[in-house]
Amino acid sequence: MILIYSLLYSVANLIGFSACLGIAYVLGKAVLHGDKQLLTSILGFMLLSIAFLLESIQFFLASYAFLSNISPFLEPFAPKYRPFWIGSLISYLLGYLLILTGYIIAYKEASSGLVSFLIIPQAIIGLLPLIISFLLAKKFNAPRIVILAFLMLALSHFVFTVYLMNPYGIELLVLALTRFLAAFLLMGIFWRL
Amino acid sequence: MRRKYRSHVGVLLDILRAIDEEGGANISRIMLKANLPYDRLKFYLEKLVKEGYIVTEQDDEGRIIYKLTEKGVKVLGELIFLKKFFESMGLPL
Repeated sequence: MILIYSLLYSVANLIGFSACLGIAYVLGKAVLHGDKQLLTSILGFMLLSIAFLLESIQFFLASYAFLSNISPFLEPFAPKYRPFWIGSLISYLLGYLLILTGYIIAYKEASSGLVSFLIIPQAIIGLLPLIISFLLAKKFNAPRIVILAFLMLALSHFVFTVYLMNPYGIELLVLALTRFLAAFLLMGIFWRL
Repeated sequence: MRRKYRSHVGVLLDILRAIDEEGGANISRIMLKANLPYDRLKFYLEKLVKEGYIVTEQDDEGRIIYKLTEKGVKVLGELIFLKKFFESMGLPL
């Protein structure tokens, strides 16, 4: 069964690879018509397609090794595949960052410079409390209230990112509610004493 | 209030569509339909003529009319496809 799952993952990544390449190609047509700012998005989707392709190859090779009885199925994480993993991780990171930047550039006409500048840091900052809450849950067996507090903080940072992209919508209310809930949960630590 | 953003491709599409819908249009008509100021429209029209997407003709009253070329019709189809693609990607055009 694990072999089928691995092949499925490989095929899924191949489809992702084709989709991202297709998107980059169509965006390229718009660049040819003069929309140079789309180059960032194109580069982002190309990097994402490379990441998908690397993971697809990785799991395909692992399936082959398993089928040919070359090695048991822990292959995707064997040291010899480290360059694949590092390559795909870097491609994912840069790819998503460039795609995000592309969207921000597209919307920045309607926003101030500072607003555009704040969007990416807010999104990245949001990842940190998410990692903290994950660690607290998995490694430290922390009380649920602390985990939830950090989760809410993460959520509020992500909502802040969305709010910066659309400062006139209901996002501010959602932001206020999530931050209020996060602060309330943090205060709850004292109430438990 | 959020300002409506229009990309380069979006502007080209609006101009070509305005000309196509009228089967040839003068500059005032295009200004109105594509919602562009004179100077900016003039810049785009010159560029489109230079690239062979539109041509100028004179009507019976001596006014300059812009018409789509075969190449222009083809590029209009491409831009309509791009608009749909951009919308499905959540990108403003």
